[in-house]
Amino acid sequence: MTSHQNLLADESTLLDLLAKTALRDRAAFKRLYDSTAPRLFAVARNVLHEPTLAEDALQDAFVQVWHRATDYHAERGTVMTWLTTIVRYRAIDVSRRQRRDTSSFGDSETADPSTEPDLLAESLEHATELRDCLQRLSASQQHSITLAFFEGLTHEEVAQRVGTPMGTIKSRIRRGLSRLRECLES
Amino acid sequence: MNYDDPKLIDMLAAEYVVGTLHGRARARFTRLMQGSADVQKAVWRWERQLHPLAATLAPTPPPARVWSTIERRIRADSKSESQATDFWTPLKRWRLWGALSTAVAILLAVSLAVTPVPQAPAPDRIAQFSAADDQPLWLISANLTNGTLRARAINAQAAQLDRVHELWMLPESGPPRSLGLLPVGSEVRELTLPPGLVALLARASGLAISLEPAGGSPTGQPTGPVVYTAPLLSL
Repeated sequence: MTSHQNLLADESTLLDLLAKTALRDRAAFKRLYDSTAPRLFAVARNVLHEPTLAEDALQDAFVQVWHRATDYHAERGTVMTWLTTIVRYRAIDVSRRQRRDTSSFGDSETADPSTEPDLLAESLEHATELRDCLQRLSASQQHSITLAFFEGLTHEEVAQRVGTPMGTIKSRIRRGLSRLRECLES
Repeated sequence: MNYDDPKLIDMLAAEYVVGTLHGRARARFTRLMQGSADVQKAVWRWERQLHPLAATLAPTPPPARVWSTIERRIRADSKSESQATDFWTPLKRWRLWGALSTAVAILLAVSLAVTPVPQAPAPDRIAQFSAADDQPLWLISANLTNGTLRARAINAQAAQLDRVHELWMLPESGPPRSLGLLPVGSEVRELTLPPGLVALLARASGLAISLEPAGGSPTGQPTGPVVYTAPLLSL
């Protein structure tokens, strides 16, 4: 299978692979990994700029998928959404622990330019509704939410990054999320 | 904080998913989520809404060593599972006699399962599913103290190609609750149930198995035919 085809793995294929994974089918699990790992590694890399930490997070996440494949159900969203959830939370955990250990917070040099809000909005072809709603937020709300989301930053870290007091960032993110919710529900 | 306020729960769920909820607040919210289906659902809703954002990142293939480590780690785990299945050989021999009642078979099966593995906590709920000809198919055991649920396939075959066997708990009242998909062959599946489900299981009357599409019921309720039921016995 070429990498191009891998990226096109559709939901029903992923669902089938996940169901077989739940039945301890190693070949299916490998195919599930091959079809989703590049996207999921990108997710981990955005939160954890240190590549080896991102690799660890991806590994842990997939070992968890192997053991907990039966936990998936439709309310969790698509299979890809569920896998993203597992990888993101794992990466956020690792990142928070790491920062507690080193106590200093790295700079933004390694930030992936594709996470910049303007590029982000452009590339959101598969989540039209979400994109439309994000675009209705103020630029500063968009920026803070996407920084927190893609890079796993805390309020304090977003505040440092954009040079705005933490209280302001907190209410900015909350208001932004409220508006996002209203928009998504309307 | 008033955790009954749906607006507050929704906002905390959003911050949990975005990642800005951290430290003790995150840990507290995680516990809240484990104990409440409503909180859990609020989180799932935000995950469904926000996580597709991640699809916009440029794919980055991980190095090959990531997969080899995953493979090594899951191989080590499944080895210990296949060793455990040896305890079931006596049960298979028994089937030929065909004279003993299911209840006696279950009790012996439990003592077989518990005695040689002293570190495994003793189950306090158990159920056996059998085929129409009394052949045992699955043995389910649960420990209510640590919330582990163990499903052991004894002689169960996979359902049709695109169908799976899903296990359900029949609570004292209310709709069935999914306990996951069942293993086949002689495999063992073990999972840790959230406290809410453990509480329901403690007073549940029985278990059931339905045939579901690959991946399990899409609705959270049985959608296919219920093919087996079994009483849940307290030990």
